[in-house]
Amino acid sequence: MPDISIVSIIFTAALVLVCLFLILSPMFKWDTYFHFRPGSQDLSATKESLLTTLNELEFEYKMDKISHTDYKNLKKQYEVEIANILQEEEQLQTVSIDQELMDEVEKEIEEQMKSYRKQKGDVK
Amino acid sequence: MYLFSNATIYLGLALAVFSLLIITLGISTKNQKMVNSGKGGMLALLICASMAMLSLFYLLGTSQFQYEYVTDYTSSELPLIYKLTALWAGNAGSLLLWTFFLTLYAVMIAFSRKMKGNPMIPYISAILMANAVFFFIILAFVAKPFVLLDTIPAEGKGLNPMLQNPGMIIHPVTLYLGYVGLAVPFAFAMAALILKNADDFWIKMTRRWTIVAWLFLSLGNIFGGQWAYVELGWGGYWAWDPVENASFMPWLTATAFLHSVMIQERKNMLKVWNISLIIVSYALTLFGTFLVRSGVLTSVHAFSNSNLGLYFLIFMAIAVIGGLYVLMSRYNLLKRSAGEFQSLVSKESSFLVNNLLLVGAAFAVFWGTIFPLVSEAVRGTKVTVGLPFFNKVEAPILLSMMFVMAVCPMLAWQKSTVKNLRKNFLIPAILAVIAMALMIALGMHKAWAVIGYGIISLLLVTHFLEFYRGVKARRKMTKERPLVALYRLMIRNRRRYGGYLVHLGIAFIAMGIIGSQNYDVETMKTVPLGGSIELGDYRLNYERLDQKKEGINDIVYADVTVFKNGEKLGTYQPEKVFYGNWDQPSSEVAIISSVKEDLYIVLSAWEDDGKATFVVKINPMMNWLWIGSFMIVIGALFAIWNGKYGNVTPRYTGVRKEVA
Repeated sequence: MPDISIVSIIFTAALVLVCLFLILSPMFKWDTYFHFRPGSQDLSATKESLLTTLNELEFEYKMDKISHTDYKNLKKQYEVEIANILQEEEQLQTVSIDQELMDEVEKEIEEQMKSYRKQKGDVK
Repeated sequence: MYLFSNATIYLGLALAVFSLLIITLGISTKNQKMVNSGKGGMLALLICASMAMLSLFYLLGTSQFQYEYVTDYTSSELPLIYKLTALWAGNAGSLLLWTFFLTLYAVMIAFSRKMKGNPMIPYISAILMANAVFFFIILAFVAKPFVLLDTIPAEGKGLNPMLQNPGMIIHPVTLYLGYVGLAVPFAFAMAALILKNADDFWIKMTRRWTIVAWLFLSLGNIFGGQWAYVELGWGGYWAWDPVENASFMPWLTATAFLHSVMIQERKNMLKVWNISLIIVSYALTLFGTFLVRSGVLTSVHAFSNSNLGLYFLIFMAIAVIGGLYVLMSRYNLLKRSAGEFQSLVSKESSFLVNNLLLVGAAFAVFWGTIFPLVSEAVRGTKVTVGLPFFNKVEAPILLSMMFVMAVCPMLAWQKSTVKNLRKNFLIPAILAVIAMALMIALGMHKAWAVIGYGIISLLLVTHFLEFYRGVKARRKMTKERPLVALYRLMIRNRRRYGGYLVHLGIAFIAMGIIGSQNYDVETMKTVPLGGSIELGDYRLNYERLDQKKEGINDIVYADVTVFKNGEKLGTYQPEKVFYGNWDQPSSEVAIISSVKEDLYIVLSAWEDDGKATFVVKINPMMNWLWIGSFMIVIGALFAIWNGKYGNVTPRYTGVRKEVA
């Protein structure tokens, strides 16, 4: 059995304590569960990559790698896709605006209800 | 120290097992605390691995010969740098280094800011921890780095003199960084599949990791070749040794992977192929380790005396079967919504051809490497597959690959037309043909060399034109000055132009390989003192033979004055070193290097009357190998350098179907 020095024991104990701290401390912390990426980013990401595609297409056309007809057709194809996404985004926006409006309206209604009840004197 | 150093290993094993279990449990019970505890365990594991490394460095540096590893690989007169780098001279130490890199990478990913809150992290961590468990089992029970000897020897056995070379300080480190690096995209791919994510998120996240791993693998191979060239004294740099092949195979498949992922990113294609490639690349790193450590094949590499290889073989089998199982269980998901090829003439189809060639090349190397084993199993005799087989099979494949590399920049994604290709191809092709005609006129008559240099000329011209046309197109839109346009063009497309720089590097390396393989000349002559040797334009005058002592080593050296076309280049000293603690002497060659060629002088033998035998070689274009390697590093670093551009990849969709 090899000689085991005090220093060695102290270092080993310190190492064990540090390791224990690292694995035990998260058990006593509050934390939320995995945050998933919201799906709404997808649309803008797709739009961005389509714009990049269009950019690359134009560049490759300028570098003489694709023919004029191909370029025109492909450009049109991607432009249509971008337009579709823009339209979708617009619709989403309208939906959210509508939602905000509805919320405000609801709030107003609630406030009016409150004051109405106050007047009536039946607030608990 | 004994207690502490061993504690780092056994505690490490316990932590790796704990982290793997608690993360898996955390995933199945959806308990974030458990996952976090596992992540804490990973951090603790890195601390243990670092402490183990520091302990071994300390023991080696202070020559603690009571430890078996220190006695086996060092001696007290060894320079400090080699005492320390002896850490990766043996099995136990080099696997410890591997484990350290693995834990480091695992922590970098688990705590990465980019991946914060991503549900893939626990899965990736668990996969990497499964790897860590394997390595810690090996360190704890098979290749133990901290074993005490019964009696303390007065002196160590010393480090193999071949390993006492700057190339050897860095070669294993870079190679391991490459090997371990491939575990990262593998873990990401598996995690994505388990989570049923069929998109290319995992590819985007591991883009840099893969390039870095590839760069380190390239460097590992290059440094190995450079070491062989200056240290082994046979004038070559690559011998298709099983162990060289072991690191070349994952390089080939990782290169294929780097290209094919671009097709997935842009066209949503080749998903199954990409995952298969990363499984194969990762498995090949383990297979390589099996070859190096098992001793089943004879090789210049030093590890072949243990049963470690078997463990790696088993682990590789588990990884491959597990990987394929996950892949097959998600096969339908991957097949769904995949894009398709629209045109035979397009960048993606050229990438596909290049992929097939690379995988074909890897398979040929694989077959040549394991053939001795197969023949032994089938016919009972071990056949050696030598240089001629590999050169004959690999040369045409790699030349075809260079051709595809030359044509590829002229093609657009999705759809190029033959007419455009012809238009862009004409000038480079004419220039390449002129270059080949010139070569023949100047007296080059070896067909392979002329074809090879012809293809390289084509590649250089197409790449130059790609930069030129890019700048021109940019200037048309932005009216910038040429240099500004070139700079902006490059930094806005880092991956593409970094890739082109790497291509140029490969072309330079190919120039070096073709030159040195086809036009090397060699002579071996015994001359008396004052005699001379003539080779090509060179004359070597043998002036003196003497002996000196350096530490415990005896060195015999000759003074040779070299003239080129009558002009004196200087006096050089090829040496033979006899080691105080090593049986085999080694040759220290004298190399006179220029862009055109290397003159390589080896002092081979001598007699009492002063006569000496020299081996003299002229290796044409050797420096291009190193220049090319440098370009590869520059290109790869350029591609991964953090920039605000290039984070969004273009996404090409399929043909619009008017009717269905």
